[in-house]
Amino acid sequence: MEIVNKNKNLINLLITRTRERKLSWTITSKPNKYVLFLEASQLFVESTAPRIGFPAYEFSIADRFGNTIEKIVYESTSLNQDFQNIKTLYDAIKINVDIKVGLAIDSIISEIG
Amino acid sequence: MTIPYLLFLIILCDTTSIVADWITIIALPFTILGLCMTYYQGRKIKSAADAAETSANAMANKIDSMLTIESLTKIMDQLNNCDSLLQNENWVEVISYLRSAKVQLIVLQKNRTYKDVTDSDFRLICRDIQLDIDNLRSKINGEEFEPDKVLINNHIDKAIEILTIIHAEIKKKHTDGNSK
Repeated sequence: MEIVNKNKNLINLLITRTRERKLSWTITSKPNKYVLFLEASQLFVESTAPRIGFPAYEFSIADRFGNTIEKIVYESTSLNQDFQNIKTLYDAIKINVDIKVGLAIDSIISEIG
Repeated sequence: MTIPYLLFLIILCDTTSIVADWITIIALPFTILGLCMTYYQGRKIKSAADAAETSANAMANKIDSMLTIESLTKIMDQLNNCDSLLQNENWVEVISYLRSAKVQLIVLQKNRTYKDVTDSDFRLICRDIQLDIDNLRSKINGEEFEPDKVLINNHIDKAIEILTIIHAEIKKKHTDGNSK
């Protein structure tokens, strides 16, 4: 299987699992950048739109030590399916992290309420 | 003339053989005693060598502990300064201190095991620190964004906590070793 197809499959799988809330994405010290820590690797999804002025996303794969193995930039100038997929993933991650924060607030309220 | 000479030779040979036998019998205990003494001396030399090796190892461990304590103290001081460096946006220095902390954590994890710090603790803090380093590198390479100082400070606090626990543990071992 080609790397491009593998990446497509990976992003689609990430969308599904993120929506199912089976993956624990984490915010990083860089705004609009999220990380998923796995045993042997790390995945990063970042929205670069606020910096470069037009919608774009970066999808990176790093090894367990944080060394980048692959980095793909998806720009909105080519409004293709890949861009739509990464945008869907980014939105799903954001919702996922927001839900985590929401749940934490709920538990605080129930504890002190 | 020949016959008496032959008789003399036979008697001489017998006497020599008897004397040799007696000498062998007398020498046997001395031989055994010599072997025992050699063995005893060998044992003494071996135990002295073992004691010297143990003592050398203990000294090496003490020096190692002292160096680690010194290095940990230095890195904790540096990390404690990171708060004000972050406020002043001195990213280069923060990166340098975070790198030292990460390297020290990796060295500590590889060399020893600790009661109160698990491998998972080491792994989690190292990857968080590495991520902060990468993000701050992007910042000093000209990317326009505001790093999350609170999150970086949280990671620094966690690193200091782990280093403090290890520092205390090594210091306790070192003190216990000295008091014995």
